[in-house]
Amino acid sequence: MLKGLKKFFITTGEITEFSIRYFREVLFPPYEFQELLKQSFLIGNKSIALVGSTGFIMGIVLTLQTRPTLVEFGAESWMPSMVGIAIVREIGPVITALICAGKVGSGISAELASMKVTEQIDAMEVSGTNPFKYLVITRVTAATIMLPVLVILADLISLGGSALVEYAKGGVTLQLYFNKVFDYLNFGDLIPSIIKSFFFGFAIAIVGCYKGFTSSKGTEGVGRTANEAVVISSMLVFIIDFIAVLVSDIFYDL
Amino acid sequence: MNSQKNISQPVIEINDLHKSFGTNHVLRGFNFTLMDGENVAVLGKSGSGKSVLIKCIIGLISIDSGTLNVLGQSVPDLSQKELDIIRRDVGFLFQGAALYDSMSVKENLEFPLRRHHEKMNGGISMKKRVEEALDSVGLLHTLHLMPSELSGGMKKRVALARTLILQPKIILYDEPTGGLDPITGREISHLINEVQSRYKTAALIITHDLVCAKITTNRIVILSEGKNYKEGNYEELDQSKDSIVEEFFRK
Ligand SMILES: Nc1ncnc2c1ncn2[C@@H]1O[C@H](COP(=O)(O)OP(=O)(O)OP(=O)(O)O)[C@@H](O)[C@H]1O
Ligand SMILES: [Mg+2]
Repeated sequence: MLKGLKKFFITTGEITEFSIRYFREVLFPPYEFQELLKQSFLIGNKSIALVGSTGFIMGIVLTLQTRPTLVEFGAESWMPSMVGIAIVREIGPVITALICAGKVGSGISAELASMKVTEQIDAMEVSGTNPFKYLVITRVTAATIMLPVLVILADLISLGGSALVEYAKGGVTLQLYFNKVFDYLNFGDLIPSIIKSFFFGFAIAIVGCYKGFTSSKGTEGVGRTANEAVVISSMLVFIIDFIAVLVSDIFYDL
Repeated sequence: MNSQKNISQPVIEINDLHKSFGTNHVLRGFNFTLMDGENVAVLGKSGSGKSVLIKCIIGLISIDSGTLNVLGQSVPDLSQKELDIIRRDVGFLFQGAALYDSMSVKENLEFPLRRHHEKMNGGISMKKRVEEALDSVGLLHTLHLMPSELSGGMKKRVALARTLILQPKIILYDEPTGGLDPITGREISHLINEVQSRYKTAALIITHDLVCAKITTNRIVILSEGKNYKEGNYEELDQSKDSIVEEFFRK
């Protein structure tokens, strides 16, 4: 128990140190733009199908399940705004982040861990390329940029799913549905959720990179490393979400 | 065997090198000199610290005490920038080849040139340089393959080409024949020999493969208990009655 607690604090400290190193090095050349573009594309490409389909299903399910209650109160016209708020504020960002933690975070940590074990990171260092810049900074920056993009996409697809249900069950046209959603949503809903998505992306990638970069367990440890990265970053997603809600509560009266 | 004609000055000088990991004293007072154009093998059992030794030389592992000069500069005192400049002249062939999995053979070879090509003399294009290096290990046809499509021996050859591409003054080989069958191992040894005499680089070859040491080098250093235990040429050591030396030379 005590040992576990100690390990927790050590890991926290080291991840913080790793993040500080990121900010210290990200601004200085050489910049690896090409690798950054490639990683951004890979992150988007890898998770877009999963994020899209999950978002779609969430939109449908959420609408189907809340519908009877609203109908009972004769309040089904509130459906678009209610679902819109839930998706944009919470469900879109968190679901997307969790999917990316599983898909992107584990991918990054497994990739870097196996590069570490097979001395590819040393080889980079020896050939005059700073591996932290080439591998870590590009991946973390790419994830930080791409996560909000994926979140917006998930939001839209999710609302689309919800609109379909409304159309099928209540005869609400798509146009009317989205008009209602956008009437009710304001920047106070959108901005905090976009900002927290940046943090989700950063946390997922930095944990993945940290775990991979510091892995030393040999080839059989690669899987375990990826697993630990997913566990830590999923937990971080919820912690960040909690903090984000507290903070945005101060700025905007919920 | 490589000729000794341009031996003039030391390119690597190691004095009383110590390195330990926790309580594990890996190197305990290692002394060694490599002259320009010379090919030397360091022979040692698995776990004796051979890889640690050459990683110290290239500055991947920091040393505890002793002096370590490469091309006249003290490696432990160098800044990252100075280290990068030295590394341009020191090639390193990793034990497991260490090809970048996510890149094709071509991209693997281009990678070291990313940072250094502006410093290279002569207006030879990158493409030409890559093809030349790959050709010198006889694998020009693999240019567009991925590392996963290569055999172990081919990977080592490509890694050698990647090392050669910056035309280093010294090449450090970490078990070039390790994990290969004896025939392929011998092929690689002959290739190293060929490359060494063509490019006239100095070489430090870490190995526990006697055949490789015999083919590629003219001096052998035996690393045991963290020290340079004995050295000499193949014939001298073969005659030795010392028990540790005999262990290596026993068939
Ligand atoms: N980064 C490290 N951290 C801790 N211990 C290490 C590290 N690198 C090497 N060692 C230890 O140093 C010792 C020597 O390792 P080294 O890799 O140099 O052996 P080697 O002679 O190259 O063996 P092999 O022939 O199997 O490659 C081993 O006991 C190893 O556990
Ligand atoms: Mg080794």
